Amino acid sequence: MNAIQFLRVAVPPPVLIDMKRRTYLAALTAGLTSTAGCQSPQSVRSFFRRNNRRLDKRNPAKIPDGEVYVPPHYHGTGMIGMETDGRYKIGIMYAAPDPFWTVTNSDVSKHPAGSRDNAHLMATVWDRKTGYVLPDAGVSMRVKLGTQLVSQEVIYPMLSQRMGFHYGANFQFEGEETHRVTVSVGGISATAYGDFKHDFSERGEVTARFKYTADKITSLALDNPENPYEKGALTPPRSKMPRNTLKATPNSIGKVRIDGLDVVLSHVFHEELPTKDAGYLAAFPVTPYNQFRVPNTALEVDIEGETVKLNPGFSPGLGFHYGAGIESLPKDRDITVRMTVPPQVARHLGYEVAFTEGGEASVTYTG
Amino acid sequence: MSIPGFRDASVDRRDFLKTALAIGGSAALSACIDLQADPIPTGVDNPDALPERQHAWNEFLPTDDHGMTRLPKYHTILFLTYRGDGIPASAERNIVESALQSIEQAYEFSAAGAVFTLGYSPSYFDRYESSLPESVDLPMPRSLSPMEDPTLNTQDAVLHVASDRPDALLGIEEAMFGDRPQMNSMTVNARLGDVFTVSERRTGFVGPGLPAKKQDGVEGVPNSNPVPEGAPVFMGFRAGFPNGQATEDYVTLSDGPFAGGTTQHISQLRLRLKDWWGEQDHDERVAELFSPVHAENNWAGDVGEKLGTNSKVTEEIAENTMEHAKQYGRVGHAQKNARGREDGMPPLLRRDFDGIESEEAVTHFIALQEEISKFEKIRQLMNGQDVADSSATVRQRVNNGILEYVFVMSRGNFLVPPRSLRSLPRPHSS
Repeated sequence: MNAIQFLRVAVPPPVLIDMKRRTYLAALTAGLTSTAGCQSPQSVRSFFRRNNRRLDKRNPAKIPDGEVYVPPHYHGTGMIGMETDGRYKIGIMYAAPDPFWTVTNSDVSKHPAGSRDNAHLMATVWDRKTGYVLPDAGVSMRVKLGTQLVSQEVIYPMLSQRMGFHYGANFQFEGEETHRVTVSVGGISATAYGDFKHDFSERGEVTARFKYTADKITSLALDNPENPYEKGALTPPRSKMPRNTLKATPNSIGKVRIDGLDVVLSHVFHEELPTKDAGYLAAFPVTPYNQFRVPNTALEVDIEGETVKLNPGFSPGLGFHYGAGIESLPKDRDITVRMTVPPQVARHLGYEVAFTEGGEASVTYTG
Repeated sequence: MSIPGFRDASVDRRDFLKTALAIGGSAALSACIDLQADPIPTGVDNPDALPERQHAWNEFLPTDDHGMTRLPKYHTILFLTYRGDGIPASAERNIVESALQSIEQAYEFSAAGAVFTLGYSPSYFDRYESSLPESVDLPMPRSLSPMEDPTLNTQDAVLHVASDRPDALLGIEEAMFGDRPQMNSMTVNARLGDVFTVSERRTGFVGPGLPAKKQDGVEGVPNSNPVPEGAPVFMGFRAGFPNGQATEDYVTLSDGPFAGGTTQHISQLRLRLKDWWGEQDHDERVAELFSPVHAENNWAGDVGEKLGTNSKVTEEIAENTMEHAKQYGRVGHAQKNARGREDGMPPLLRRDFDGIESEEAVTHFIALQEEISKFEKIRQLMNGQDVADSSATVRQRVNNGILEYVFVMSRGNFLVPPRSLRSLPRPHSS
């Protein structure tokens, strides 16, 4: 068989000549979804292009410098599924393609939704037993359509005023079909203490089915709060999924505000911690207003002229925190908390100008 | 080169050859032969004159424009399952040896002809009652990081063939596992297909121009086709610098019954090129592939051409990995791995190449080392868990070398015996 015969017989034209699978699939999809009222994935993009100004739009002149502020708009989210694998419980959600800001040291960089993105997928990962959201774990998401891979990527740790800490990324769905969304979790970065020591060393993986339709995305509520740009935050809606909120703090000795972020301090004594009965200083960086725990930062404290680095930890009693063994705290003396690296977690609107620099603040320990 | 008559579309010659190789089969072979006019150099009359080390390829390979040894352009990996139930018989041993010698007689052992290795898995050796000697460190493949869940390639054997001519690769395959009576116009004396079945087939390419031509339409590569023409692999930079590779000597088993052999780790990695090319700029790519210092000083150039024959990944750069994490907020792949050098010598000899599987860009990673545990040690360094633990900015995969962009699909471990033991070896060969 010569070259031409081979090409004609063995290789289907769309594969060789037009290797753009998207075009090929889009042609198939267009044929399937031409019923009236049904929007194609392409129309999600044009819907948001027409309305994109609203999702992306913010007036920098109105944003309070270095503060957490109420964004001028926000949209709803939809649930894809909640599944369990071992100790991991993972909730998977979808939303409209959303811009976010990544922080590398103090460099803030905007990642607008790509023109072809037609969904923002999110995962929250928590411990099935205690309900604690897992601190910065390595999470990736894979979307498949039948045997075809649509996308697979590492998804970023993110902070949003309505969801708290979660992982997310923008995706491009190919057609209005049922896709399989798989979330994999591998290892946490914090040191696990007590009973948690062996619980999260294994990988976890769950899969949920999601029938992607453009309607689902475009019909998500899009709202404008009454007090945009004010210092403050949106109220998170009710949800079955935990939000990594800091509730009561045992033995709290005070709170400082550094660069728009609150850091709550506690002096605790617990068997589960490396210091056992000796004292342990725990610091909980949390967002103001909603008290979401914030990971991916670097903290140290100055006590009596000595600087002690606080290490990320995860324990059944404290959840995610930063801490170090400090036997006793000197009464009526200042404790200086220093944020040497601002939280490197990606930010959604409302969190993108606060805690990007770091800094320090002090509190007096009164005993 | 335009192939007339086919929708008046211009199909690049290199594109065609790669596609034909990927599709495989007798029709593809004929089509390639149809296109290629030059003869392929034939092999030796007496194959026993070839080196005792199956993996001794370097002396037969050409050098690139910079004077660096380069791999042949096209590659095939065939995972093989022994047809029988229990322990192979000596008659079968003879068939395999005869078949391999046929290849050596038909094709010159070079990039212009064909070079190959045949390796065996721990599962193959498990067929026998006795175990492998202590001098061979060949564990079962396993997941090597918390972020992966690879398919384990535990087939009996693996044949890796490489050539600058895809018709050589297809010719060998059709003769060994099909029913073509000749290879490169020489008689086939015996077929591997009589003893093995092919359980999985992977093909690929490496060399300037090859990924660039192939990138169009590959899932995950941005439509802007950003892979530069001069890049030998999809991620865009030259690799395999001598200072970053073990010598063939260093990876060769020095004692025991399998002295002269080596171990081989083969994995398949899916590449997330959209983010590699789309979300990052050139400096960020250089920083994550080499080190932030490389980016700062612009040592790499566009595709690593400025590095000549030395990657500039020095001991100092390796030692400063943690410092760089703090200072630059990212660390490089090569710099993390360089921490595993032994007396300045990297313990691995990498012979990887790229491919396309189901329209996804993949890397077919192959490393030769004296012991598999040496590979596993380097992979732990590559995971950079220690860097992620001590840095708020370098995460488990983000800003941590190239980990964000590679997804491990499969892993396999194999023993590549010396030539005299390459045909269905027993574990405690005497």
